[in-house]
Amino acid sequence: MPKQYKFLLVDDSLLDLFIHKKMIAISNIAESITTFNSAEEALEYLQENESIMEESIMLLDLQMPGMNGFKFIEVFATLSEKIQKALRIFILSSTVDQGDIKLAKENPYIEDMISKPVDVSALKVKLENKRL
Amino acid sequence: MMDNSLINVLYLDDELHNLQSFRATFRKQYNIYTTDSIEEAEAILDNNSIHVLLADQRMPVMTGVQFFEKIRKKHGDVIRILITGHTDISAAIDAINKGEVFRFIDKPWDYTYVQNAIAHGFDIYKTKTELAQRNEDLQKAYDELDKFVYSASHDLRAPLMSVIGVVTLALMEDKVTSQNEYLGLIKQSVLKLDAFILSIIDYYKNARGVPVIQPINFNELAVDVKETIMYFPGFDKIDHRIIVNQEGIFKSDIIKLRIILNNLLSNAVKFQDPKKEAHNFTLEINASENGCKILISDNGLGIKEKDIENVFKMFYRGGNAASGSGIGLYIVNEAIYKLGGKISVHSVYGEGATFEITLPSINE
Repeated sequence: MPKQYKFLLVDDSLLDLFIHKKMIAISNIAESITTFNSAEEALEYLQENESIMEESIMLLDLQMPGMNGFKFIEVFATLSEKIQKALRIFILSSTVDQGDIKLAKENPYIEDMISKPVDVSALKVKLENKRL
Repeated sequence: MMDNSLINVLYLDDELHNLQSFRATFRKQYNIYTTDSIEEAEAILDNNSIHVLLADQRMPVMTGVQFFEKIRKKHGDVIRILITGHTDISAAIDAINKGEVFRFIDKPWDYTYVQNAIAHGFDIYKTKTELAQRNEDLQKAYDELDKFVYSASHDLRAPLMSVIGVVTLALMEDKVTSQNEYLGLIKQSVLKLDAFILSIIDYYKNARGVPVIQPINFNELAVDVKETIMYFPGFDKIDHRIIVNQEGIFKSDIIKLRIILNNLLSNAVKFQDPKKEAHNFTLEINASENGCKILISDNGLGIKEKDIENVFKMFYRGGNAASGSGIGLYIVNEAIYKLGGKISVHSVYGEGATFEITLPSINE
């Protein structure tokens, strides 16, 4: 059995949440999958569950109304070390904006960037590579 | 004939009688400032928008060319004319290279010659300013285009990527039973993409299309718009009232009016509040030969206070997951602006929203 991860998916598109959740579920790499329809919801969840935080993989959309992916990262950078250490953040976006791609690649809180729709086997390889 | 009274001319000369005779000759044609002091001349340049500057070459403190050189950095736009009593080739070279003068005028000056120099100088000033304005407009248009292309490409790609996602998922699963569900999801994405493409076409028509001004029959327009939105999901769940009071002939651009009403009414249908039992919207139009007032109100989700000032911005999306691409209300606002009208929005979040539009009748 492949390694199992806890997944947190953040996307304003319910359809994309549904697709990615199912894909990850079928691929048998998830211990649990929690979905959030906005960055605000995800943030609230992190703060409320700080004490029981375990290593989790977050797939974060960039373009969302209200708080977008980059604003989420800004707030994330102010959260406790415990939360920051537990969470591995991957951007999952369909953006072709070179500016956004550059920003994401340079951001120290972002481990990597993945294009929609998620390629689970490629994601698996990224997840097995220990973070730097 | 060009209206010369708009030309601001500054004349700097240490000989007061030259200033007086210049003023006496041209005071009816131009708005004239004269001085014999370098400091005062600089102050005049700082505090007034001077178009044409004339200076005598031979002055005690500094020469005309030196003065031109001094003010060139700060007031580079000002057209400089040098007045000189005797032609000295080295002064002329300096004047051109250092002072960047537009014309030389020989003393004693000839009335027509001075007049022409000022008129041509002002033409150049005007052309330069217009060019600067055009460049600024062009830069703004480029910036908007950049933003537009990035945002539009995202909105075009996002539904396509969802479709690919659903197809990939369907291929991963062996069960045939869930295929219909996946087809339904694909359809949903394709409809979203189509709606976005239609709004882009609206945007284009609104921005670049030639306006067709014609008498508007608001009853017909209202029926027309209703027929467009009645197939939208959720239309069957919403009660609506349409009230039209029209007296006299109201003229406007029918295409823009249709874009405005389509967008606002489809928003009323789209943003129903699921917590409420009954949903409704009202379209009320009062029109006369002078103008019209259009009210569109609904009891839907409403708009959050922090979003209200931003709703008309391009690609701004409120924090609602059901919100579209953020282009609809931008187009509405642009269309109303082009028709010379005004739009305002009042909303209490959770209670509904009211859009109020006033438009003038466009009578050529």
